Amino acid sequence: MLIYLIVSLLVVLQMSFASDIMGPKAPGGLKKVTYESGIVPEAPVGYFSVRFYRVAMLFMIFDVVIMALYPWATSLHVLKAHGFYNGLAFFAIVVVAFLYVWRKGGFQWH
Amino acid sequence: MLWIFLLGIPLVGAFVTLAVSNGVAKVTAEVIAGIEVLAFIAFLVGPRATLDLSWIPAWGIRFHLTADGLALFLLGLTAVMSLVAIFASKADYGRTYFFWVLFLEFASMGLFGAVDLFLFYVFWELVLIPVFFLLTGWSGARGRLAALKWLIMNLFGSLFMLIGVVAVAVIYQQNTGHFSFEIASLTHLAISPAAQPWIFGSFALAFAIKAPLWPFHGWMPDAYGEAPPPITSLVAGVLSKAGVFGFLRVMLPIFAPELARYQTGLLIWVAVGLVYGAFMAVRQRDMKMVTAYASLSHLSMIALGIFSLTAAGIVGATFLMVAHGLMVGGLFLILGVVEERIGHREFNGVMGLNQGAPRLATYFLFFALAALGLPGLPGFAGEYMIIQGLVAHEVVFAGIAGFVLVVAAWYMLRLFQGIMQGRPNAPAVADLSRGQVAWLVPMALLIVVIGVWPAGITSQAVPSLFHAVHFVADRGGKN
Amino acid sequence: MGYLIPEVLLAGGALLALLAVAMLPNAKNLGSWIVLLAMLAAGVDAASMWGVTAKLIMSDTMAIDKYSILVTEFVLLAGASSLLLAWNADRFGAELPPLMAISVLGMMTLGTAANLMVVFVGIELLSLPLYILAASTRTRAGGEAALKYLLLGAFSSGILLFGMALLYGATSSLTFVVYPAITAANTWLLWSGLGLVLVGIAFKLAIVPFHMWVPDVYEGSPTPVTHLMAFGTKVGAAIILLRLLAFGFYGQDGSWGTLIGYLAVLTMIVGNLLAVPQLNLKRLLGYSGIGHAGFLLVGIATHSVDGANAMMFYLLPYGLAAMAVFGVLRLIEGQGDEVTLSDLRGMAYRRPWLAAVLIVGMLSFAGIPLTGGFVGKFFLLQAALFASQPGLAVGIVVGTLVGLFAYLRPLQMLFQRTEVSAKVQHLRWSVAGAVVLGVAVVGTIGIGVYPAPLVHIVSQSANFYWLTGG
Repeated sequence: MLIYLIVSLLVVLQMSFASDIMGPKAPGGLKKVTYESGIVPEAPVGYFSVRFYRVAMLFMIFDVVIMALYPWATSLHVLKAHGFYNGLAFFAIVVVAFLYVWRKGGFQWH
Repeated sequence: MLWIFLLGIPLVGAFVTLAVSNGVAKVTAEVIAGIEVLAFIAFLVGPRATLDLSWIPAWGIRFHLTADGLALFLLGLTAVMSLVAIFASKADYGRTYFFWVLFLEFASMGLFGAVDLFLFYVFWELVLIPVFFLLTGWSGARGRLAALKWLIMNLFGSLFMLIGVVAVAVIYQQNTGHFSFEIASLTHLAISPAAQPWIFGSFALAFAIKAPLWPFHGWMPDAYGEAPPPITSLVAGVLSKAGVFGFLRVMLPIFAPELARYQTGLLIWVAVGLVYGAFMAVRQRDMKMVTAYASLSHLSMIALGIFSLTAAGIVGATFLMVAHGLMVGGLFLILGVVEERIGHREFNGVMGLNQGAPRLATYFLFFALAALGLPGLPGFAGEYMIIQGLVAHEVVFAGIAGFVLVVAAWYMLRLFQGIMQGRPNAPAVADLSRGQVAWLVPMALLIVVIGVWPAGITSQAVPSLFHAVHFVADRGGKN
Repeated sequence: MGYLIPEVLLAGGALLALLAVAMLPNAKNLGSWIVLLAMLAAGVDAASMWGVTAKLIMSDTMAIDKYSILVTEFVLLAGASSLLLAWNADRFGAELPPLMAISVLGMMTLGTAANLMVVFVGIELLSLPLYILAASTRTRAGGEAALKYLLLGAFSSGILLFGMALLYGATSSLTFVVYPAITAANTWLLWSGLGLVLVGIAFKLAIVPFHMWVPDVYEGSPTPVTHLMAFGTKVGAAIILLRLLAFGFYGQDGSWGTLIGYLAVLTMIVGNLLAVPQLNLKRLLGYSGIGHAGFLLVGIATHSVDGANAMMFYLLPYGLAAMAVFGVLRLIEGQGDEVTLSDLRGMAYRRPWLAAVLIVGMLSFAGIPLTGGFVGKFFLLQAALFASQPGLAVGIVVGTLVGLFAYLRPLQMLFQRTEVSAKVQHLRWSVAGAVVLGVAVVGTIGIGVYPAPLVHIVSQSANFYWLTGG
């Protein structure tokens, strides 16, 4: 057990650092240029506007949330009334969040 | 029922003082402390009251206070000294000052009355707080440091004592199956030999720091020196008694066998403090410090009486506690007046203040003589009883005690001569005012009364020390 | 289901408050009122369940007993006091009340959790709103605090989750209350899992050596939020640690009891020691909170009903003292976010009542008699000695002594005569703040003077060891 542990540790370390120690290094030149699948980037690369992230996050949240409703809908005949009301409660929470984001202007670009 | 008044008057009074305006705070405090003295007198002549209420039933803790002979006169001392200290305070200290003084009186009353170990501990720590704030807010330049030293050093001992308190109760619970913090029921505990010295030591350390006894007096010079004179007189006169009182109240019942076992060591320890205090007093140039170290020496004397474990020694110690409170308290107050008049605390050579201030000199002489143990005054009676208790079996320590009495005369008279006598080389100062005489006279009268009639106290104290005396008798009539 | 009505009420309150904030942005304090009322209702409902016999609900994922009810009451107190401290302060943002409610909901969940998944949900529910709240003033310090808290919180959550996975692997159950019955075959896995879970919770509870984030986060966060972290988070994390160890690993206390004991002593001493040199009062309270977490650990380390009771007891005086001190800080800071030691100068003369409140709070932290803190320490000492662990008792005493220096310095500042600080001069009382301070002082002194009722209540609460049979 112990030997196995030590050997596996060594192997991992070896893999992590060997190329760093032994490999040739030639920094500079084209290596500093942004790489986009071999295509030369058109616009100067800077930070994306934070608005993109906001939209992406809102999309993610509501998307995932809606996804949860599919299995709920298909298995309602097993869940019966109990499951139905729980699902409704869940949906109500999502609606509240939706209303909040809407009223706060979260869906507007500016 | 009377106990409720005894505790309630200063406590409620403290908050009343806080509510009135600064201008009348001192008068209010005087009235409240005066009522408290009256309440104590009612206590003295009335039935010997106890208060015994359930407090925390789950742990068997009771709000139990008693005024037995041991505590009775210390309660009286607290009442009288608080009143005098308030009289001697400046009115412009403000209402918060008088709040803390009255709160201190409340806590001390509780401390001397408590016979439940938990309650005792609560008041034991509670007396530290008012003094801390009084030192912080109303003392000299280094007062803040003195306050920190006071609280930290005292709590250092106290918190370890808290472990001891809990340990004693836990052992009692394991022995008997139920809880009790009643000191009287905590006797004859089966403490394991490994834990015994630690528990004993935790109590002894706390009491030694509070007294203070050598070598735990680190806080003393700063606190006594920096505090305003009324507070010094309260701390030295009343609170220092709490330490030695703890030995009598708590350790004698709970740790009687251990006290007997460690007796020689304890005697050597306090004897060193006795001599140390006396010689430190001799070489001080600061008049407050002379008295402070004298007080240290006296407290060692009291402890010596307790550790003699004889009836005479313990009774003498009980008596000397009360007497010492009045004497040293008075002395610090007078020194406060002197300091105020001459503006500093040094005394170099002779200053000859008695030329301009004969009344001041007279009262100073009276208290100094009482402190050095002049026959007829109470210091002598107490020290005599202690030496009597020691002579039988611990004659070496009796000799040391006798020797220190001589040194006491040396440092006290040196102090008196240095300040009062000789050709004046300092500007003359104003004499005592009528108001100051008004509170010095009753104190002096009290000292004379208990000096010529010590039996008034000792006859009360002996029955309360029954347990101690009984224990001494148990040791094979070594009495 | 009826047992979860307090949680449902609070969740409903949070949602309603969120709606109110969005729909009626001009109604002042509407969200705060909704959350406050929801908290009151939840508290009343939880109290009405006091007679409940301990039971597991929701497919054995939650435990309802007197312990959980007490936790509910404590965290609701924490939440309500934080809310009141933030009353009328627009600069914290309108979303503060619902976020606080959700955080408190997480703490309540931790109080009832009997299943590792519920523990995780509780911890995340507790933490996520706090990450946002830490930055709610939008200051630099607030942002730094929030980022630090978020990163370290996520890190500790990862560790916690990994540990839970290992525990699941070892026992094939997430319901930790049945672990003693399983006596897992693969103990190697079990102990690694437990270790990682302990580290995860220790981050939340701020146990030395996982305490580094505390001072910065406490300093940068708005004072009401700091108060919620100091009081509420500590209750939630301490309770779940106790419940996990006492329920799930009942028989094996030999292995974790010692470890927790050493951590307790280390935390008590280091936390208080680091509090001593602090000049910023919120940092000081942060370190002091670390020290107090150490005291709480003592109750767990003794592994006895006494210890569990003592820890539960200790939480209330600690929280009340925190209410007093943070309440005073909130009044002093006004529109700022920082209170230093020198801002307290001369307060005893200029604002005697406020100074008195601060004195009571600090003395309770320090454990001086007639304040609740003293009885709490006494209870812990008793538990330690009954468990025959004098080392813990000495640790408590040394920690207390070290802490004294930290608590006494601010108190001495109050009596500085030379000059009164500007902040004290321009201080303005608020009704909500006065309510918090009043409750704090009455509670602290009340528990200190007459602790019998609370001792009685707490002593009933921790008699849950029957569950350990599985």
